[in-house]
Amino acid sequence: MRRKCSKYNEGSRKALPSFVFVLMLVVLFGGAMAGLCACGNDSGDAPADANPPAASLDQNEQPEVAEGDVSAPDSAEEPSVPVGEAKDDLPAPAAPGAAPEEEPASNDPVAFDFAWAVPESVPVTNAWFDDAVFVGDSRTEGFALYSGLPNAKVLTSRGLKVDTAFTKEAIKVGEEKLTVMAALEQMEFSKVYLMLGINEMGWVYPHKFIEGYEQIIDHIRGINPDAQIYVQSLIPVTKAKNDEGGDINNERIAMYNELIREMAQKKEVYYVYLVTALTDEEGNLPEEAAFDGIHLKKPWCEKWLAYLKNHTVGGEAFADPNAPVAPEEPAEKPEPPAPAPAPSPAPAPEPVPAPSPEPAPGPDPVPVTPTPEPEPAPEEPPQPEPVPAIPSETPDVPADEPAPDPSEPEEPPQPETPEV
Amino acid sequence: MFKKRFLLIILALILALGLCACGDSNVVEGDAPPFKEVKADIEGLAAELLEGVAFEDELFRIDDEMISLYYEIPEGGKGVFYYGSGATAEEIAVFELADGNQADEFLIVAQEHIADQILSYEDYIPEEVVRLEQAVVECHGKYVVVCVAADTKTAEHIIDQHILNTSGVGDAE
Repeated sequence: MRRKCSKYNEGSRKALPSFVFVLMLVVLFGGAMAGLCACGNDSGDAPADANPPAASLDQNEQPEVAEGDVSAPDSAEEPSVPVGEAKDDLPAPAAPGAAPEEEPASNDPVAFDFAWAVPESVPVTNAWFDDAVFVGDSRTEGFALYSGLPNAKVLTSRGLKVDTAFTKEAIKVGEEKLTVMAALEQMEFSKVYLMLGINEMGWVYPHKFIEGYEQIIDHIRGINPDAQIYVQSLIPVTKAKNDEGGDINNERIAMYNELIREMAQKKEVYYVYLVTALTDEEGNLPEEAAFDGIHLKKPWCEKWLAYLKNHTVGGEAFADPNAPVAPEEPAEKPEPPAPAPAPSPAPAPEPVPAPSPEPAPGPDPVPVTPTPEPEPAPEEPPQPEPVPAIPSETPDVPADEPAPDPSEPEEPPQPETPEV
Repeated sequence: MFKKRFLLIILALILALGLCACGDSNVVEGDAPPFKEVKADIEGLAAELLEGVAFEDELFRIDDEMISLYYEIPEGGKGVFYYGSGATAEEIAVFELADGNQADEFLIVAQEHIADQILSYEDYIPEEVVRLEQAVVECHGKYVVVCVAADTKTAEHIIDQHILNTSGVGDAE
């Protein structure tokens, strides 16, 4: 039933707009003031998924980027929260040399803070990996061959991506070939080490990469809900490779690593920050580490393994009695948690404070740089991530060959969400 | 007439006995031993290939227990395996099997490995497919040799020379 508003009538219509107008002004003004106050507490209001911008892009809001189109939509926006800055839902990284504001992550599985990378722990023996499965692409394949870890199971495929892990039948099991995920379903394991992303460097929508990665994690949890899942950061490439200007460059790798770190926190899986263990002071993989700038040679695969053995959660039972004893360190002085690297698609990545790490109690058999040092992201000012919109199927870069070209007729980068 | 038939029968028997004297194929006859056993030093041959063949990538020796990632060596066999970083398909693999029969079977395994590598690289680094298709995959006695490199001629020469020097004769099999 329509109720006549006696307060207003035809005669007083002229007065109505004025009253409403004033009311609107008050509302607007009040809202603006509230907004300004909110902006003042920047980190507090930044939505968790506001950064990086690419991660929040809705494909429906962006035009499809044709192959070869270099204008990647997700590179056009500035991140609403500069990468590296503390977010409301993440603990602030500790400043170099300073004690972190919050308790850094411990190696205790019960008390572990997933916002942080796995800190240095007591070195474990190879037996820790008896029930581990390594899942990854050609880099992981090289790791399996050269790390000297005969007991670990490996599910790798050259060119593996988060989507083809469900679709590419590359794992030989008996007389048949299975996909990586299908092969994993047939295995018994308690730990899974994942490293994916180098083949997705050319994807226009990095958030699709994260979505696919999350599906893999969900699938693993479906197989074994109690399994420890370690998500490893991408390892940078050499300077020479970086300077080629292709999709695979260290700035983009840093950006992906930040996405991976956020995903790890969200999915509550362990994030292992390999970067500082394998790179030089500029954050590049040393030239002598990889023939083609990407695929690690044997000595660096051994360093990789050494880092993993020094960064476990709940690995005390596998402590290596032969590991060199580090000078006594205060027990409560944990190694500065691996900072949330600041991969920034743009802004000067605020490298995470990498305090000089005192080796935590626990021998550090390998002279690994104690503190995970933030990616040496170049100081460049934020430029919209130099993301060439290259088709998704960027294969592992061939030795000596330029990175795959956009001209390659490849299928659209973002495959539909693979079925689990 | 009976005598003629008897002589013919005797002659036929003599001929038949003569044809049966094939002897053992492994018996060395005369001055030239065409079927002398092939010998090789798998460590030495692998090292010679590593030294003499031009490789783009740096090859490292794979630990024995990791060889099974690429080659399932049967019981009684052993192998030496060098592989690169994965940026190329280059490799050296030299195996000694229990006997010639096992080597014949393992040759098929080696060929299947190369076929798998071709499938793996064709969508990954297509340029390596050419190198794989020209791979040296050979069986000499109880030895199987695999060498993936651009310089296949040199590889084949090194293998032949090694067999010759180690066995004393060329490979007659």
